[in-house]
Amino acid sequence: MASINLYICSDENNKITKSNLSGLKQYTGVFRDEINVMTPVFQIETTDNLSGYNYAYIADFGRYYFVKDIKAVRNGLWEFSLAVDVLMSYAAGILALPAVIRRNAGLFNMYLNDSNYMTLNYSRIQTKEFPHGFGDWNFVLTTVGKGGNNQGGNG
Amino acid sequence: MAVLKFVNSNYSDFICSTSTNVTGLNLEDAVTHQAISGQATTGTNAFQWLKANDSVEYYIVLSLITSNLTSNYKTHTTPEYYIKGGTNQNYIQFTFSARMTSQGYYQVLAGFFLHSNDYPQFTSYVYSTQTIVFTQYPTLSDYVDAFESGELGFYLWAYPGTQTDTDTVGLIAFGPSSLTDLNPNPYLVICKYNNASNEDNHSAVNSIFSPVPVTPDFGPDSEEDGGWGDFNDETENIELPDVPSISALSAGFVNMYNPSPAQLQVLVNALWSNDISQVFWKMFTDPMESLVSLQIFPVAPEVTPASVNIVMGNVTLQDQSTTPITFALAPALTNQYKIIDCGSLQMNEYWGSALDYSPYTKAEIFLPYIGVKEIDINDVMAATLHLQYIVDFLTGTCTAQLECVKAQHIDFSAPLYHWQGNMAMAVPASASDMSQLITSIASTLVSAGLTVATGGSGAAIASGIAGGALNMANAHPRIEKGGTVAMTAGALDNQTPFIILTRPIQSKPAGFENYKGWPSNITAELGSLSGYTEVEYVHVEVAGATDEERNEIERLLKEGVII
Repeated sequence: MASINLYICSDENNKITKSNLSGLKQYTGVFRDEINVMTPVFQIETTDNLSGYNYAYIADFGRYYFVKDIKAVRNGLWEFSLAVDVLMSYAAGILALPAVIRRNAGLFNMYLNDSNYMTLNYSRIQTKEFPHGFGDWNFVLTTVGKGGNNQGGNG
Repeated sequence: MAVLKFVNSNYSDFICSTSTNVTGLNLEDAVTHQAISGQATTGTNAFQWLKANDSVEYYIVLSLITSNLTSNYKTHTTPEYYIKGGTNQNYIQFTFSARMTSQGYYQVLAGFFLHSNDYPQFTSYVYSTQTIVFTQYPTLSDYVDAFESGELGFYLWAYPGTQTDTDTVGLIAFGPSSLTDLNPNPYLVICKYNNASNEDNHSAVNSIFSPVPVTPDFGPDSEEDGGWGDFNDETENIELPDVPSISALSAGFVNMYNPSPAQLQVLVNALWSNDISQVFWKMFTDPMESLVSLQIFPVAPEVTPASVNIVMGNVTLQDQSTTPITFALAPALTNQYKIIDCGSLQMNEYWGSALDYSPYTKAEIFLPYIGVKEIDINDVMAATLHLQYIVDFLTGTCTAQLECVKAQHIDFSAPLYHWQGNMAMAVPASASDMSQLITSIASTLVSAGLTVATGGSGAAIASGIAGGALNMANAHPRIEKGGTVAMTAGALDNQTPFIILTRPIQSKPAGFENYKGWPSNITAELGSLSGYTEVEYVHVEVAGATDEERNEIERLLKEGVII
């Protein structure tokens, strides 16, 4: 006897651990035909309206699935086409993986060059003046001849 | 004595000079702690932690929060970021910023570790020299179990400099042990952590709580060729140059003066005297031939306290048209060169990111009498720039040296840039082309001498000489304008050097990190992370997954997932 849980999931597909699952509907039955574990297709006969359900868990397979397609075959008969959600199905194993992280929301080094930096096409000009400059105007007369004015310093 | 002092807060100073053990932490070295509530937990009232010792001050901004994820906490990230983690989910956040205000630099290792079985277990860390925003979610079941047993704690720690740094370290711990009560007056614990005396960094504090440094990977561990440099990055600080110890003045042939305009007028009168004896005398010793230059400089030379006689050739110039005779005087230069210190500028990062560096930010420098020059922003950002000129009053040549002192990301000091220009404005000085007259004089003298030798009368000789002198006096020597007529363009430009920074203006969508994250390039366990994550490299060793599923997991991790 197979057990299928259907959920309404509001999490993003790429979220590893889907936590916003609601509207649980649990059905049991048997798979009459050959079924692909990765992309199972099955029918559920129920009076429930299942048109809003987009997520599933099949305990026998130990996997979570996205609902790819729902067909109302006839009154009370729904056909579901699923695709495995590998992230949720193997969340514990994935979260234990060490990896070289390219990008993260909280663990980052902003000094790394990043092609995702977007800048406006105009720039901010900033000037910083040194404390001291010139403008103390003086004449300097240079001559040659006897005497010289080697009068000290290193001159 | 290290003093850990809160400023701009109502917390008392933390003086780590005596040993005080804190219950539950059992830190061996000097420790003090302060229960914090209210201000720190509001999230918007981060307080500063000032660490002061003899010569170095560290300003550290720390905030920590224990709160509910549904609270509308607004700080460095958007509140949605936390709400996504679920309702009633508890978290801790540290914001840690270290800024150096004087020497040295401060590298921060911030992270979270918990201990079980008397050994710290790292789950993540951040290595930074700037600001760290560190958020941790105690939601994993093993953590929660450990919290409930009262064995775990969250800690933030920081190390100055490198691992071999011998300075005092502040350890900040948040806890102390149980996070099950999330309406606590959490403790901020600071202790002195000195690793100078023992290579074992654990010696100063109880090993259970010892923040073992996590060294970022700086190079490969490859067994193949390459990667085996000596990694010797020692640098010798280069000082700015001094003036030469010998100059033209040293030779004794050159006289240099710093006349005032009034003194120059006396000089002009002396040079262009109408006195016939002066004219005659100048024919034999033309002082104008001894005039090398008259220049205007925008800086005062070093001179003698008192004025001296202006000597040109072997003539001490005097204006005989006055009574009494006025000697041409001016202060004499005591040094052919002079160093002009233009002072220093502190170049601070604006963004605190790669945007402050090439290719985003550009820098130029305007140097009077040299022009606008481009400088590498990577050399001058986060540095103190010291500019000096050296002026040669003989030639007008000036050189400028820009010294870059970096202490934030690297420790470095050297004059990296050198330019040269010319600072002198030549004043047109009248110069007589007396060569023909001198030839004439010589000819006359030779003729007169010959007359004498051949027995001519003295009157005739005198007449000849006098005639020659008159001829010379009545002659109109061709006057040439010497030197460069045009003023130095630099004199008409700005006289103070300045830096021109062209900074980019970042367009950052709100909460960008939640959609795309920031660059990381750090090895970490995925479970220790939160939010948007892209993986560069990973070995997908997941039990039970088919080959197709493993490939799919790797593809998704590289495309980006939300943890």
